Amino acid sequence: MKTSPFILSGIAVALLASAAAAQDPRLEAKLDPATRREVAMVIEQARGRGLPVEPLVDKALEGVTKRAPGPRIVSAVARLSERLEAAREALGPNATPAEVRAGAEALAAGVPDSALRELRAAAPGVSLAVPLGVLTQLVSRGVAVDRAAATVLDLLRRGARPPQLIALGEAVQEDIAQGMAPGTALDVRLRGILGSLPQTATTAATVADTKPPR
Amino acid sequence: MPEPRDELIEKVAHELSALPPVREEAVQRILELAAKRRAAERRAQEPPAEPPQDERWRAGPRWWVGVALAASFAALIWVGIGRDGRSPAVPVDTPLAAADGAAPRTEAVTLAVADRVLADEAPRAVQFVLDAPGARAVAVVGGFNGWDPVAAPLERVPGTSVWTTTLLLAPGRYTYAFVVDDSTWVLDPRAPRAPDPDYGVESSVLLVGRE
Repeated sequence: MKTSPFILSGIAVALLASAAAAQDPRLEAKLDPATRREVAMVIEQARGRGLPVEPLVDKALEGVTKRAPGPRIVSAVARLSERLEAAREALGPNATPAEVRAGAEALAAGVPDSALRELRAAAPGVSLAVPLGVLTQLVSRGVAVDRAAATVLDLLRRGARPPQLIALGEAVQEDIAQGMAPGTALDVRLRGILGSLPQTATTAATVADTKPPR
Repeated sequence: MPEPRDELIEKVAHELSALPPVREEAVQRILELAAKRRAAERRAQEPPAEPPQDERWRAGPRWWVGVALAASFAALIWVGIGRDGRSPAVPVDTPLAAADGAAPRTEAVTLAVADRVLADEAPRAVQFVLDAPGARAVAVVGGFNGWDPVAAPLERVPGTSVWTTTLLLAPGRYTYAFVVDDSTWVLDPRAPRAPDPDYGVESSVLLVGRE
C-alpha cells in the first residue's frame, strides 16, 4: 500500500506542532538548552499521563530563581512528576489540579499515600487542597505524621471547613514558634476547634487520649 | 368549516402538552458548570501560551466544543423529560429526594458536589507586607506566580519603609519569598519557614483559605 505524501506531511506537521507545544516560553527564556530539553521531556510525559503540568513548570522556574544548576532542576522536576502521579493515583482520577499538587506536596513531606486515600474517602465532595496543605504544614512543623493525618481526617469527617483547618494550622504554628512541643500544640488547639464541631466516636477517643493524667 | 383532524399532529400535540415546562435557570446552571469544568480542564491540560493570534484561533473551536457538550447534555435532559413525563435530572434547585418517591437524583448530586469543590477553590485576597528600610524595589515570588521576580512587585506605603501588595490566590499551601532590589532573597518575618530539599534554599509558607 502506498502512503500518500499528504498524509506523511500531515504527520510531520503534527509531530512538529507537538514538539513545539512542549516548549513553555517561560522555560525557553530562562533555562539553558540542555536543561530545557530534559525538563520539556518530563513535562510532555506528564501531560501524556494526564497530570497537571503547571506545578512542573513552577518547580523548574523555582530552581531558576534560586539559581540551582541545570541537573538539579531536571532532577527536582522529575521527582515532582512522580509525586504528582502518586498523588493522583491516591486521590482518584477526578481530583482537581490543586488537589493533585497539594497531594504531591504532602507526599514530599512524608505523608503516606494511604492517608491521602483516607482523606478522599472521608470527604469525596470537598476540595482537599486546604486539608492537604494544613496536613503538610503540621508535619513539616514537627507533628508526627500519623497524629497529624488522623487529626485532619477526624476534622474532615466532622465537617470542618477550610477556614477552621487553617485556623488550627496557624495556631499550632504559633504555639510551636513560642516553644511548645508540636504534639502538645496540636492537642491544645484541637480542643479549641472540637467544641464547634459535631462529635464522632473517633474524635471523642482522640480528646480522651489527650486529657492530662490525674 | 373545521379542517379535518390530522391524527399525527394530534398525537404530537398531545405528547408536547404532557411535557413539564423547562426550568431555564437549571439549564443555565448546567451550562455554566459545564463551561467552568471545561475551562479548568483546559487550563490544566493545555500546552503553554502562544502568540495572541494563535491563541484566538485555538480558543475558538475548543470553546465551541464546550458549548456543544453542554448543549448535548441539556438536550439529553430534555429527552429524559419527554420520555417519562417527569423532570428527572435538571432541577438542581429542588430537594434531592424526589417528591413522588423516585430514586435520588444523582445528576443533581454531582452538580452540587462540583459546585462545592469550585467554591472551596475560589481565590481569596492575600496581602503581603514587608518592612524593608532602604529598599529600592521589593517583589514577592512563589508557587503562585512562577517564582517570577517581575510578576508581583510591592508598592511602598508613602512616608514609610513598608512595602505591600495584595494578590488573589486559590486556597492551599504556598511557599514564597521576597526579592529585594532584584537580588536579595528575604524570608517573611511573619511567616513560618519551609525547608527545601530540592534546591536547598528556604522559603516562607502561607496557608490560604480563610473566608
